[in-house]
Amino acid sequence: MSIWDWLVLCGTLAFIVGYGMWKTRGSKNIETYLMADKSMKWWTICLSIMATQASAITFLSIPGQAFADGMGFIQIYLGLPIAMVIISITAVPLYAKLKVYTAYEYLENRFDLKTRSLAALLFLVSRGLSAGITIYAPSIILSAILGWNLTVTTIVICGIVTIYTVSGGTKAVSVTQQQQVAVAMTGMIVAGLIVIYKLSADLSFTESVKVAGKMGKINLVDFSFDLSNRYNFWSGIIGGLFLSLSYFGTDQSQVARYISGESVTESRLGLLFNGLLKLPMQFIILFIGVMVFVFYQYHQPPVFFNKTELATAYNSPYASEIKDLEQKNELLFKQRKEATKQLVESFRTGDKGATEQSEGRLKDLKAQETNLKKSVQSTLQKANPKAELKDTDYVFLTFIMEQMPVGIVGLLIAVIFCAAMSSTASQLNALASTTCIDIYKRSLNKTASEQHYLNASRLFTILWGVFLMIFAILASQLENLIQAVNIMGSLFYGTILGIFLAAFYFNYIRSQAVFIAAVLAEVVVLACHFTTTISFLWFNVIGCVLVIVFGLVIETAHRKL
Amino acid sequence: MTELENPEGKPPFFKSWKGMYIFVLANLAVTILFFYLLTVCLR
Repeated sequence: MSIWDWLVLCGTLAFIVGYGMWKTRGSKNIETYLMADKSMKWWTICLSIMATQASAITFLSIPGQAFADGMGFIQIYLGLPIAMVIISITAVPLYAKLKVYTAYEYLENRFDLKTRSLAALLFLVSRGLSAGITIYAPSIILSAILGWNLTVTTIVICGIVTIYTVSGGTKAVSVTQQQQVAVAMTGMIVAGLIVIYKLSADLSFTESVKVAGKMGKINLVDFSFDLSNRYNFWSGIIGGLFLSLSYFGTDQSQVARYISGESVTESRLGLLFNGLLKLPMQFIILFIGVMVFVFYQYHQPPVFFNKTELATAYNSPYASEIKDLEQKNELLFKQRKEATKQLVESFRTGDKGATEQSEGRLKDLKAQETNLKKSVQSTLQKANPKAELKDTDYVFLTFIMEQMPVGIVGLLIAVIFCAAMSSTASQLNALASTTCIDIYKRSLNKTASEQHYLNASRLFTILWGVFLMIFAILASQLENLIQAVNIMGSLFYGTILGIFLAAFYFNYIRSQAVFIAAVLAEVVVLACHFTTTISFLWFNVIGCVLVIVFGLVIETAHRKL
Repeated sequence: MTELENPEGKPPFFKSWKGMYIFVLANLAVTILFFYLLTVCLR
């Protein structure tokens, strides 16, 4: 990176953190620290909700996902707007009426202490581990691309987040997230405009979109019903609805964002505008990935986007094999470029026969490209048995580093840092508040002063910050654990949602029944995960429905016996 | 449902929360239709 990029990167991060700390200095009681004095306006809540959900991986992986598989990923968010409406009607007024600090407090009010503690502990375990991954995943990619030390990158991200979260609590998290979302979206739109500008030398914007469509990348909706297909309309609208209900209605990292609203109106508007803006935001990010794909039809892409793995192979006995594959990649690129040019020419002349012929040619080349990729992966694995064989996370960052002008590179690296910090800050804040309110204040030390609980919240924020830092640093040694952690959220979310829905809508179900139902439902979900090929989104539906059904059956049996 | 009948405050541009909720859901329906048309027309 040039000196200008460094200035933009450091200046952006210093301004956001400095402004956030200055604006939220001097929290004097626990309500200010954990609920921002219930003073947040809807636009701050909306941006904070979006920033919490959009981690660095959103900006790194999603363009890469679109590059590889097209825009079908967007279907995962189809249930989100419906969930925003349901939560606005149900959860928001309830949480406001009970004046809760955390979502789990409500469960004690409705059921009992053990149900509250169970939900809080499930949240702390799953969120504590996944927050570590939120830092680790971008750190490893940034380190590989920028040549930085992984531990230093992790400490920088985690250290900055912990400092401002300890300093200003929930308000600091929300205030910094406003700037972070602004930087992230500005950076992504600038990146998108630059890709389109660079493509304009070869083809117009309309032609770029048509090329992407003919190459199967504009696959936004797929109505086929298949339980094992992760991204289709049905899994998105049903599974995505249940996932969103769990995440926004019961996960403290999101609940904390809207319970800090000035009124029910502000909280509801924050959620509903998130429902309006989420799909367009994801569309833009995925579309940029598709435009990067079209760009690489006219410009030579590397044979493998993760250059660290390529360098390892070059320094191994398999260097000549990789060189041969690179030559094949160059040849394949030239043929693909020629076929794409013919496709564009057929659009211009309106020759449908020529269009179909070019499409067929491009499909053949795609098959050859897939085979070449497999050969590259096989060689990389021979050179390094522990090699990371998926390179889609590196596509967008490679494009940024190689194609973006000076200054914009710094801005886009700042986007990734901002996204990493914004989602981590919300999680850190939620972990600390749940530990303090649901465990420490409720079960361990019930009679201390407000000042004591404020200090305890700050201490828990620091302790969780240190835990996340250590976990993220050690994560590279625990690859299997990372995969387990990534799936774990989906395995528990359905059950937690079931407990909350039973609380909201089924007065008939009492505490003992819901507790046993939750344990049984969790066992069934885990059994399904280990014995079937059902896509993870459906576990949110299965877990939730089972808690309700088991709860009704157990309650009925209990009353009759 | 009580909150729907007796909401705390009103949303901007709409007479009731019900109108705002219908707007969000209608926006989703239009978005899905737009996605479908893009998928089919550019295939």
